[in-house]
Amino acid sequence: MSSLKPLTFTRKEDLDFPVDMRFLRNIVDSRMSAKKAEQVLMSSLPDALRIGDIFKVSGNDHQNIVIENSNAKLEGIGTGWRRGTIKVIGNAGSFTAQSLRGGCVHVEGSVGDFSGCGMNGGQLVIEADAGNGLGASLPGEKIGMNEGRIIVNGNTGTRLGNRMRRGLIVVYGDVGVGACSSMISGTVLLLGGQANLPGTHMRRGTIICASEPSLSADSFFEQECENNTYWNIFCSYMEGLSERINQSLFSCSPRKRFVGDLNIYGMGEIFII
Amino acid sequence: MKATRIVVTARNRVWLSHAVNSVTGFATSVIACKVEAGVEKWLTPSQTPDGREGAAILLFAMSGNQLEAQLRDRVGQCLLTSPTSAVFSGMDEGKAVALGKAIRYFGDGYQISKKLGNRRYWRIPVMDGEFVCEDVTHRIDSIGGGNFLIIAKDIDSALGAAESAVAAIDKVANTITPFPGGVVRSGSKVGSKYRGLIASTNDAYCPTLRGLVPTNLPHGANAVLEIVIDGLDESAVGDAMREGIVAACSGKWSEGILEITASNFGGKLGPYHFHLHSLIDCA
Repeated sequence: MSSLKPLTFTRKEDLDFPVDMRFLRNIVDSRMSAKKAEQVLMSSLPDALRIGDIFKVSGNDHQNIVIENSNAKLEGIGTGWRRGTIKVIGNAGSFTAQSLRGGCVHVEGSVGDFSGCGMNGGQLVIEADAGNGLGASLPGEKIGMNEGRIIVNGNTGTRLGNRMRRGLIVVYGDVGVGACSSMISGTVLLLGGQANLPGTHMRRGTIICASEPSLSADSFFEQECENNTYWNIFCSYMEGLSERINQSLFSCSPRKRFVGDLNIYGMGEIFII
Repeated sequence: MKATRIVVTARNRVWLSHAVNSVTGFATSVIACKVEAGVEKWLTPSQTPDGREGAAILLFAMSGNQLEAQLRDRVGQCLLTSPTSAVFSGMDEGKAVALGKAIRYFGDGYQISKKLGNRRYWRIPVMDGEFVCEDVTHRIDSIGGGNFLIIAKDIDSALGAAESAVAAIDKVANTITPFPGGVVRSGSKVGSKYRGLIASTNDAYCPTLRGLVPTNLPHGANAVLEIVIDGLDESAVGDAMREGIVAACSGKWSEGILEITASNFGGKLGPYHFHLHSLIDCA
């Protein structure tokens, strides 16, 4: 029995047009060989290009995908992915891990706008920065991320977690304006610098900030943070999840708790640690 | 029987004890209490989901519905009301049984659901802050009514041996001894001369009835105590019985122990039979 090698897509040359990477799921679901995959016609592209015109395909492990020499023109990597891993060496374009249902998408570079939108499970790890609308609702959609985890080691753009309904987002860097706006539920950790007006119009959900954010006094009410049993459970969960979470952040109770957005429903909460 | 395990935590040992005593109260026998419950083991902060002192509690009932109803009522009336308490699932396999799912409505719309991994927690606002309760626990098939009788020449010997036995059984995982102090003095037989009474005193083991009814007591026996054990599986009950019997017969009270036997109710109580000699031979 031959040993399994990751199914690897190596980009051949610079692209001056976006490439829809949703074909990955079809290749995996049909367990297509590397040679056959190179012959697949990419209907989304002009000039009747085939996958082999853009990528050199090798390997045979359909649960372990590697995209080498990736750049921001490759859009929709990991869309609808259900199991296994996708490792992206380089940057990824917009809509990365859109509607992800399981498995893991690991991007060693940055991702474009609307990545992680509609996620229903799985994990998206971004080693560098993310664009706008990470884990947010797509224009016209009522809910954003619905399950799963997103971990960003760099910064993110605007509208992070907009209309997010469930799941966990961790951002180690800074976030743009409108983070967690209209949040429905879920948990977001903002471990970088000061966030600007996070949680505007949030109905429910939890935001945890390492730096005290700028908040509208009309929208959030500050409370004492006494006897918070849930905090201990959450910290215990995070310890098992990420080694990078600085244990000292969770060694004591949160300093402050704000509830809001009082203009909407008021059941959201912002912890300051 | 059906059984489930829950983990109860509180701010300190005092309030943990109050919560545990309350939720396991009036839960000695399914005959009248509808549930048998007890502390399986006390937990250190590192063993609980919220890093506080806790206790693993086992509850046994005759049916899944009865167990679910008792769990809902006891969590709602005994743990929700106990200051600083929280309750979590202690069992991950089997059929799901509502825990916080059943009492979240006490929050009147202000309850918060948080899902961490595969576990959902309810945060119900109460007057001391929040009552945190896991959404569901699980139940499995189990065994109740494992027992043995300590027949002694006097009550001091019987009590001393029983206490040693219960202390030994407490160390066996997946078991509880639901009666007061783990010991029963009113062992029963099936049926009664009175209509409608399904159990009555085990007259064959009552010292004061010797001479009035056929007795099973050896000469010189003046006190009998019963240890009743519920366990999650056959091996747990067997282990507990063996540990209990060995402890009862090997302590300083052993000289006063005349006999160890067991009630088997004519073999009609259930499908599991624990033969004492076989248990001890395994030791």
